[in-house]
Amino acid sequence: MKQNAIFNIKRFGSLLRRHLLHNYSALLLSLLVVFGISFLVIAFFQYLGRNDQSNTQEYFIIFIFSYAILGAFYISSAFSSFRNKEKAQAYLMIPGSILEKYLVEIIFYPLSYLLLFPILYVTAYQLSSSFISIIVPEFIAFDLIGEIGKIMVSDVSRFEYGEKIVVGKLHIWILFVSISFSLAMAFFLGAASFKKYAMLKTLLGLAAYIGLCIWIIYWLMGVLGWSTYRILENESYLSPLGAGFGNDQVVINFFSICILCFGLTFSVASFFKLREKEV
Amino acid sequence: MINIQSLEFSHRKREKLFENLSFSLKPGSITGLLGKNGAGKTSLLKIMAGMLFPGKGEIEVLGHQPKKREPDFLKFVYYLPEEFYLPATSVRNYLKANSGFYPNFDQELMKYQMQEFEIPVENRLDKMSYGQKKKFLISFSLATKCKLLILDEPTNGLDIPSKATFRKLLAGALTKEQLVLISTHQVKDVENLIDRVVILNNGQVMMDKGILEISDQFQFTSVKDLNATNPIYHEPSPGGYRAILPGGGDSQIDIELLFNAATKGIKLY
Repeated sequence: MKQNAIFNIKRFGSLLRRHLLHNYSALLLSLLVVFGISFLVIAFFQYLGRNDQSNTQEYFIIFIFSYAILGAFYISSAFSSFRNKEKAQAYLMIPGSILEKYLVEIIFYPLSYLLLFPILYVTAYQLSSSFISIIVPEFIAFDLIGEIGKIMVSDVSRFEYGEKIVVGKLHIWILFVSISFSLAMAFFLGAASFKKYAMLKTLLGLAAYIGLCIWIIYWLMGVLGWSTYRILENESYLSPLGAGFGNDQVVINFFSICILCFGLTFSVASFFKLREKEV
Repeated sequence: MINIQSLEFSHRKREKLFENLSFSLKPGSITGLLGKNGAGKTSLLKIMAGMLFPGKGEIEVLGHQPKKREPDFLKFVYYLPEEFYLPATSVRNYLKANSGFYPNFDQELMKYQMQEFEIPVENRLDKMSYGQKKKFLISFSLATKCKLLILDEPTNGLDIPSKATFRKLLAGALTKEQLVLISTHQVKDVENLIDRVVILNNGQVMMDKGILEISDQFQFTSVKDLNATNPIYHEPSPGGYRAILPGGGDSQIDIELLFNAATKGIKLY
């Protein structure tokens, strides 16, 4: 197969442009709705909380929950053409390769959501904080950006002679990115596979899958007793985690890569789903 | 241009729609694909366009296997379905977004056809009536100048003047390199337009003939007395009968009569 049949940058640009021109009002509206709702919710809680909120972490929790819930809804609406026979016909007949069409969906659904939502939420938070400071002069806002930074790259410290000494950094953001990506790709696969109730079916599928994984881990660790197995120093090259769980960053990196592999598998599976579509 | 050999196809869990279906079509023609309801006209068109995958057999369209849906194939094929989708955008935006995919797209022809069909350029596509949308898509399909135009029931939903405009535009816009495949029940709408007839029946191509070939061999006429004429096939009509008589002539081909004769098992060839 010629390379041009797989990917052509000009055609890919035309597909992106087509998606934007056909959906610009819906895209703009969803941006405004996400920003508006975030702003209203944050402003509501900030106004109710009043005064000093420097230790209130609820805005980070709201961020995590809304990121997950809105993401599940939005990403499940990918491949919207396949929910309607006429739309599917028009979509399949566009002169673009399967890879190009797939990339357009990935860009406008999981990737744009994963990148844009945090930006919109943080912007709404900053704007709301400024707004509430005008209404309530004694208001002290919670430092959301600083808190996110602290959580994503946290200090590894130990106490020596009663003094806290920072000995390194723990990059939790790697795990956060891989979990977000993999969950997004799971919903993306659901959107590519299911014509109706894509989000619900994906949630059920994920629950069953995660349940199965937990049961397997329990069986291996608990029933077979793997949890009590200790790797000797001279055998540690066999273990991706080394001889023990001493280095947290190694553990985080290992699980991040494992979770990322799931995400990549989901994305490949959704590509094949698109390839085999018939109307 | 289209070469189908021993094609087999069935929708899931249903009996075979096509079995050992073979035929080929060359460019430079407007071919009418006729068949009863459920004969598989739309399915065959979709197989040719790469939207349905055949079970067995060979299908080659413009030198490509349609099921691969390669861009080099899709940019030379335009499929206008009976039920279609148009996005909630303006005519201008639709043209900006979609015309670039077709290398031979003729903007001037598009403008001219829209004028002929009286389509308001400033309107949003989702605010148009079904007939207006259909006329817009017909204009778009002809302006693409694709090598293969597949039109499924193109005259459905068009008013009488628009049907005449459609015939005029279709006849005027085509080149010798193009093939137009029209599937329709409204044979009267395309009677003077098509130059080849393919009749599908019971999963087989029952007839695949050029109009000239048909008119060389049969006469289509109205008669009052059947005994005097000995027709191959006849149907009652007001004041007598419509009949197919052996031997060529200058008569206008009655495709409806031809179709009825073919599907009722009358041996014409």
